[in-house]
Amino acid sequence: MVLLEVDDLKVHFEIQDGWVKAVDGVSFSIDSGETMGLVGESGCGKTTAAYAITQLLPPNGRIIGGRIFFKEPPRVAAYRKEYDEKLKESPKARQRELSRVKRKLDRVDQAIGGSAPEVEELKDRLAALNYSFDLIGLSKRKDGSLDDYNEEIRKIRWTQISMIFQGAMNAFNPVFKVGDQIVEAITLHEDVEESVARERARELFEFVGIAPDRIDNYPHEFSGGMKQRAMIALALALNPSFIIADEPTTALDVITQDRILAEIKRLQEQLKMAMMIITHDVSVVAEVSDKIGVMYAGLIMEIGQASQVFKNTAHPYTAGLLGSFPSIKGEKRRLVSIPGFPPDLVSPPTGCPFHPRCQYAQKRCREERPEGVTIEPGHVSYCHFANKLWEKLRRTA
Amino acid sequence: MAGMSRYVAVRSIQTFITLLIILTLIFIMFEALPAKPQDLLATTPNMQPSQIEYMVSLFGYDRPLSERYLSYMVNMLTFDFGISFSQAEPVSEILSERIPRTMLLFGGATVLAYLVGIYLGALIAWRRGGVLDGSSVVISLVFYNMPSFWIGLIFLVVFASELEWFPLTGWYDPTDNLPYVIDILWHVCLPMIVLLLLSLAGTVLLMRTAMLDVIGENYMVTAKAIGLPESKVLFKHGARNAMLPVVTSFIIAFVFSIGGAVVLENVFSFPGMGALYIDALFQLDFPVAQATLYIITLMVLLGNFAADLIYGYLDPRVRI
Amino acid sequence: MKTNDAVEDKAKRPDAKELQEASIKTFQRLASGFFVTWKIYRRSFTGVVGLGIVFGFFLIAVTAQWTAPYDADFKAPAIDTFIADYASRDLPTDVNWSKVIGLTSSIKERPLERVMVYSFEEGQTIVYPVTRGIGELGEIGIEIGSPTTYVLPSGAEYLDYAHFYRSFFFALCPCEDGSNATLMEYNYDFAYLREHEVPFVPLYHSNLWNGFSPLYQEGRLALAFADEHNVWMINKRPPEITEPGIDSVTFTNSLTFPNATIVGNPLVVDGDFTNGSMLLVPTDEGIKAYSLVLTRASLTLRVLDISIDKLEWETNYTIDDEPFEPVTGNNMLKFPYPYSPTTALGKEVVAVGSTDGRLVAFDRVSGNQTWWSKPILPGIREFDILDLYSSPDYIVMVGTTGEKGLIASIDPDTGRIGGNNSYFSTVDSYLNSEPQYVRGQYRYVFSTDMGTIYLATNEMKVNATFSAPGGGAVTPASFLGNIYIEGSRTGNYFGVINAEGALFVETLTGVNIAPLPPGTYPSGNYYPLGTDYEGHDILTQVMFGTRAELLVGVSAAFFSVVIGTIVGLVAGFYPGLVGELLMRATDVMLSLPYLVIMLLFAAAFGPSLFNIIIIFAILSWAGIARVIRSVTLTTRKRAFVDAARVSGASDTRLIFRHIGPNVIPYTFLYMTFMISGAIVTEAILAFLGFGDPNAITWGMMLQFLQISGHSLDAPWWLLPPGIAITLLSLAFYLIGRAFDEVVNPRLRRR
Repeated sequence: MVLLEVDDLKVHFEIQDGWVKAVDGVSFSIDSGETMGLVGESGCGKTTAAYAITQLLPPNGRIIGGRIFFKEPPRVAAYRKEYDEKLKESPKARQRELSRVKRKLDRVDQAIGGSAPEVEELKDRLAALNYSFDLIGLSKRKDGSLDDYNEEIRKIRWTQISMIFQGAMNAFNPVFKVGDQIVEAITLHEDVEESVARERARELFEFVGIAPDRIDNYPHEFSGGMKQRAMIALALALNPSFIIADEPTTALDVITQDRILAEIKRLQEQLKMAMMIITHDVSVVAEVSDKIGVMYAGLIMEIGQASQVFKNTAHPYTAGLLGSFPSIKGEKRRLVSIPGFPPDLVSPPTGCPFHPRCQYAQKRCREERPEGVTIEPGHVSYCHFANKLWEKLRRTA
Repeated sequence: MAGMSRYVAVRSIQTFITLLIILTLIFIMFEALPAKPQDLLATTPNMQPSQIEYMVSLFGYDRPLSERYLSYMVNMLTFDFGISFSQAEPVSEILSERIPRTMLLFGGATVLAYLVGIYLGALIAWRRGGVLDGSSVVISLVFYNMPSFWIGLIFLVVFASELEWFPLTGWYDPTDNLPYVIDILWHVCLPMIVLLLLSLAGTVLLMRTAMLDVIGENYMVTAKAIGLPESKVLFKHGARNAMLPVVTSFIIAFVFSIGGAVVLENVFSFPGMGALYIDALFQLDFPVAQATLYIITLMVLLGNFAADLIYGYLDPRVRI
Repeated sequence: MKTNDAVEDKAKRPDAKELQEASIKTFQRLASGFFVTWKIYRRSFTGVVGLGIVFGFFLIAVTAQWTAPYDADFKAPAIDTFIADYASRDLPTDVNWSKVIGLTSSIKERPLERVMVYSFEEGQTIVYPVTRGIGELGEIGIEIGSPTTYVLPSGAEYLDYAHFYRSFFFALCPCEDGSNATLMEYNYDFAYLREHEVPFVPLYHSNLWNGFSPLYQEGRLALAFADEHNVWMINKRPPEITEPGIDSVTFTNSLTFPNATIVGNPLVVDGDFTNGSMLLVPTDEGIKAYSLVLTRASLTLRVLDISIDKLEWETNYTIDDEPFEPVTGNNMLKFPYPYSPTTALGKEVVAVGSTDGRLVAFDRVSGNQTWWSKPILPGIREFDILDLYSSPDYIVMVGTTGEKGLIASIDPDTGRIGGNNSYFSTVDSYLNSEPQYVRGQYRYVFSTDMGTIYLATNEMKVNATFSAPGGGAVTPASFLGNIYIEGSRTGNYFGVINAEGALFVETLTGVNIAPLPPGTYPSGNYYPLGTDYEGHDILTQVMFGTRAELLVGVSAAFFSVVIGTIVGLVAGFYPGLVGELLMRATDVMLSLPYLVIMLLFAAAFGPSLFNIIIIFAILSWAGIARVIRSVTLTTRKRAFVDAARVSGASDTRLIFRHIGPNVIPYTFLYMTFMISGAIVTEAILAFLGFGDPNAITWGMMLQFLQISGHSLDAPWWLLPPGIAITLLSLAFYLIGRAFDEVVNPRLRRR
C-alpha cells in the first residue's frame, strides 16, 4: 500500500542573486514498511525534498508546485489519478466536476444516508477532487502562501512522520536535558502525565541501547553515537508510521556508523515502519534500503528497487556515483570520480542537468529534459539513452 | 547542582579580583591627576582644622604611597569614604541618599531594556525581511548612534515642555499632591524611557543577530519537526539560546547604560549619582568623585555578576 | 635569521626597469584589490549610504571656508539680534565723550529722568532729559529731550556720584595740574550745576553713602574722601523747615593716620540705624574699622548728623599668621551691599582680595577672620583679582585670566565659587566698567575694552552679549537706573556712546532677541537655520563643526585602534602568561565605566580637543584587542605562518609581516565603529561642560544651548547639531556593519 506519494515537487530558494531551484520536479512514492534511500551529492536537493514533506523549509524556501499525498486510501488515489488524467490541468472542468459530485453526494446522502458503499465512493471521489490528502494543499493559506505552522501539519508531525536528524550536529537543543526534549514531544501530542512520558522516554532509551538514567543529561554530555541513538529514541517517541532519516550516519566514526545502521535495521525489522534515508553515502543505502532514488541537481536521475539500481544501473550519473565509492562487498576496483562540479542551481543547465559532466552527452541532452525511461518494472531512468546505455553501464559497475 | 555552586564560587572570586584591580586603577588615576587633593583641602575654607586633620589622617596624604594605598583599599571596601570637600558632610551620607535614585533609573531602564529587547529582537529576527524588521533595525541603528543627552533634550522639549505629560526636572515635588512613590515614579518616567530606548537599541540589534544565528541551528528544525507551535519554537527554543550571547555582552551594555544614566541625570536635573559626580568634578571634590566612581563601577560589576549567574542558569554547558 | 633576510633582499635587489614594472604591478594589484573589495562592498546598500554620508561631511569640512554662508567667527549684527527699546541722539562730534551717567532716581515717588554725558578733556557736560511715553500705536518708547550744556573744569577725572535730596553729586579731580578736587552738585529741581571747592586731593572716596533709608528719607550726606593719610567727611545739610533755603556743604578732616598710608577706598557700612554703622579704612598696616554715630530727629525722621566715633577693631593682612599682599585700589574692600540695608544685615563680612588670588573675609562687627579661600575656577589655571564688588547675594569678583576678562560671583558665606549657585564667566577682554547691578531683574550689565556689552545673571552666567547699535560702544556701558511712566517703574536703562558719536539709551529687557529663528533679518542677512544666542549662524557653525568632529573622531579612533591592535596581536601571539595577563587587563578595561572615567580625566586635565582624543584612545582599546587576539590566534595556526617560522623569521617579523596583514581588515572594521563612538563621546563630554571652549564642535553648540537656557525654546538650534552627530556617527557605524559583512562571512546572510 502506498504510504507517501510525492508528485512533481518543486522547491525553490530565494537568494540575493535569484532563485535556487533546489528541487525542480521530483516524484516518488513509498509503501508502508518500505525503506527508500535518497542518494546524491551534497546540494543536489535530497534534503530539501525530504524536509518539504513536513514543511520544514527555511523561510526563504518556497514550495512552488507539486503535491504530497500522505496515507491516501488507494481508492482515492486511483480516483485522483483518473481525474487528473481526465481533467488534465483545467481548473474550470475540475470545478464543474466538483460541484457535480457534491450535488450527487447530497442527493445520495439524503436518499440512502449512512455509510452505504455508494456514499463512501462519492466521498472518496470528492476527496480525490479536492486533493484532501495533499499535505501541501492542506497548509495553504487563502492567499496561496504556505502556513508551515498550521494545525493540520503540526498534528501529523512526529505522530505520523518523525525524523532522525544528524544527532551529532546540534539536533538537540543544548540548553535542555535530552529526556526533557523527548518528554516535550510526547506531552505535546498525547494527553499524558509527565511522569508517564518520562517513563516512556526511559523505555525508549533502553530500546536504543542507552542507560535510562541518562535522560537527565544534557546533549553536551553525550558522545556523538549516543546523541544519534537518542535522536532515534526521540523519533520513535510517538510511534510514527514514517521516519525520515537525514544523513543518520554522517559525522560519526566508522564503527559507530555501523552500530547506528544496525540499529536502524533492527527498527525496520521490529517496528515495520516506512523509512526514507537521505544520504550521500551509497554504502549506507545499499545496506538498508529496499528502494533507491538517485538525485542530481534537484531532479531524480534514476529510481528503482535497490537491487535494480545497483545491478542494472541505467543512468551515467548513478554509474559515476557508484564508481566513486568503495564497494560494500569489498570487490577490488578503481575508484573513479565524476569530472567537473555540480551545476549552479540558480541557472541550471538546459536539458538534462547532468549533460555538462556526462561522457555520453549528445546534442539532444543539451536541449531536452529527459522523460523517464522504464528499464524494468519499477525501475525508471531519466536519461534519453537509458535503453542504449544500461548494458554498457552494467558492465562498468 | 554541584556544578552550579562551583560556578558561582568561581565567578564570585573573579568578580572580587576584578573589583580589587579596578579599585587599584581608581587609586592610580586619582594619584596621577595634576591637582592634588591635599592642595585643594588646604584651600577649602569651611573645613575646620580638626576636620582637615581628620581627613589628612583618614586618607593619610602625608603617609607613604604604599600605606595610603592599603588604607584606601580598606576604606573603600568598608564603604568609609571620608568627608566631602565641598559639603563638609560624610560622603557616604551624601551617596546613600543618591544611590537608590540612580539604581532606580539605571536598574529599571536596564532590566526593562533587556526584557523588551530580547523579546523584540527575537521577534524581528523571526520575521526578518519584513516591514517590522526593516523599521526596527533602522530605528535601533539611529537610536544607537544618537547622543544620549540630545535625545533626552528632545524628549524634554516634546513630552515635558510642550505636551506637559511629565515634569520637567527633579525627583520629587511635594506640591504635586501625589503620593510620594507615585510622584517619584512620575518624575523618573521620562529619563527612564529615554535611557530605556537608548539601551534597547543595542539589545535589539544584538538579539536580532544572535537570533539569526540560532534560526539556522538544527535544533530549531527539530523543534519545528516535533510539531511545536510557532511561539514555542520561537521563544522556548530560539530565544532561549539566542539570549546566551546577549547575556555575555551584559557588561558592555551596563557600561553603556550607566554612562547614559550619568548624562541623562544631568539633562533631567535628576539628583542621582551622575549629577553628583559631575558637580564633584567641577568642584574637584575628590572624596565624592572617588566614591561615586567606585560605587558606579561596583554597580556595573554586580550587574555583571548577576548576568553571569543568569548565564550559568541558562546555559548548562558552563556549569562544569 | 638575519642572514636569511639578507639573502632574500639580495636576490630581490631590482634595477630601475624592474622597479618600475614592479610598481606598476603593485599599483594594478592594489587597484584590482580595491575594485574587488568595492564590488563586494557595493552589495551592502547601507554601507554605500554610510560612505556617501561620510564623504558628504568630508566635503563640507574641506570646503566650509567657501561654502558656509558666513565666516567661522561671524556674529549676526546688533541690528538683527538686538531689538532694543532705545532712543539715540547725535552728540557734538568734535568732542571725545568719555562717560554717560544716569541722573535717574531710583525713588519711585520722586521720578527723575536725566542723562548726563561728559567729556572731561574738553570740559563739557550735557544733560538730556529722558522721558518715557506711549506712542501713537500704543508701543512704549523713550525720548531724549533738549539738552542743557554746562562747562566743567577741563582735565577732570570722574570719581563717583550720589543722589541726595534733589541733588546729584559727583566728585571731580583735576589732579593733573595739582589743584584740588571739586565737588559738583547738580540740583535737579532747579537744573543748575554748582561747584564746591575741596581742600585736599582725594585719592580715594567712599561709597558715598547718603544715610538714606526708606524710613529716614531726608538724611544727611556723608561722603568720605581720603588722601594718603587723611579721611575727610563731607556733610551736606538739607534745608530745614526752620531754616528754609539753606543747604550747606562742609568738609571735616575726621581722621588722620600720620604713620600709616591709606591704600584703598574707605568703606561706609550701613548696619542698621540703631547701631553698627561703620567706616572701614584700608591702610598698609591693615584694615581699621570705626563706628559711626548717627544723630536723628525722630519726629521729622531725618538724620541730623553723622560723625566718626571710635576705633572698633583693626586687623593686619595675614592668613593663618602668614602675611598676604592685598589687592589695593578703589575697590579693595567690599561687602556688605551698600544700597540695601535690609539685605545687608545678614551679610556681616568685609572681603579683601589678595594678589595671589585668595579672598579673606572679616566679620564686620568683631573684625575676626571668618573665612578665607582660593576660589577654584574649573578650566582656568591662573587668574588675577582686580576688584571686588558687592551685590545682595554674592561678592562679585572681577579679574583677568590672560587676555581675557573674568567675572565671578562668590558665595559670601564661604568664599567659594560653586556654592549657593555661584558661577563664573570669562569675557572677551578686561572690564572697563563697574559691573552694575540692576535691581528688580537680578542682572548685571557691564562692558569690556573690546566694546562688547554683557548682560549677566546674578550668578554671573553671561546670558547676552551685544554691541551698541551702529557699531560698538566707545564709552563703558553705564546703568542709568529706572525710567518711570505714570509713576510706576517700567524699565531698566543703560546708556552708551557709540563710535559714531551718538548717545544711546536702551532698555535691558528684551534687548537680545537671539537666538533667532530661521529667516531674513533687518540687516538683509538670511540665516537658513537661525542663530544661537550670540548670533552665530547655526548652519555655518554646523559646517565648521564638521572639521573638529572628523578630526576628533578619526584620530581618537586611530590611536585607540593602534593600541588595541598591538595588544591583541601580542596577546594572540603569546597565548601563555603574557596573553592571559593582557586579556585579564582587557576584561578589566571593558568593565570600567569608560564615559564616567573620561569625565574625570577631562575635568582634571583641562578641556581641549587633544586631551579628549588622548583620553578616548586610552580608555577604549579593549574591545578591539579582544577581537584582534582571537583573529591572531586562528591566523597563528595557519600554514603560512608555520612556514615562515620554519624558515627562521623572528617573532617581530612574524607578528608584523605575516600575521599583521591578516588582522588589518579587522582593525579597519573596528576603527569605523570607534570613530562613530568617538564622535558621540566628544559630544557628550562637550555637552557636560568638558569640551574645548575654543573649538567649534557640535557638542559645544549644544552645551552652549543648554547653559544659555534655550534648550526648550530654540528647536532650530537644538536639532541641527544633534542630527549632524547622529548622521555622522550612524554613517561610520553603517560603514562598519557593511565592512563586517565583507570581513566576517559568517554573518553574511544567505
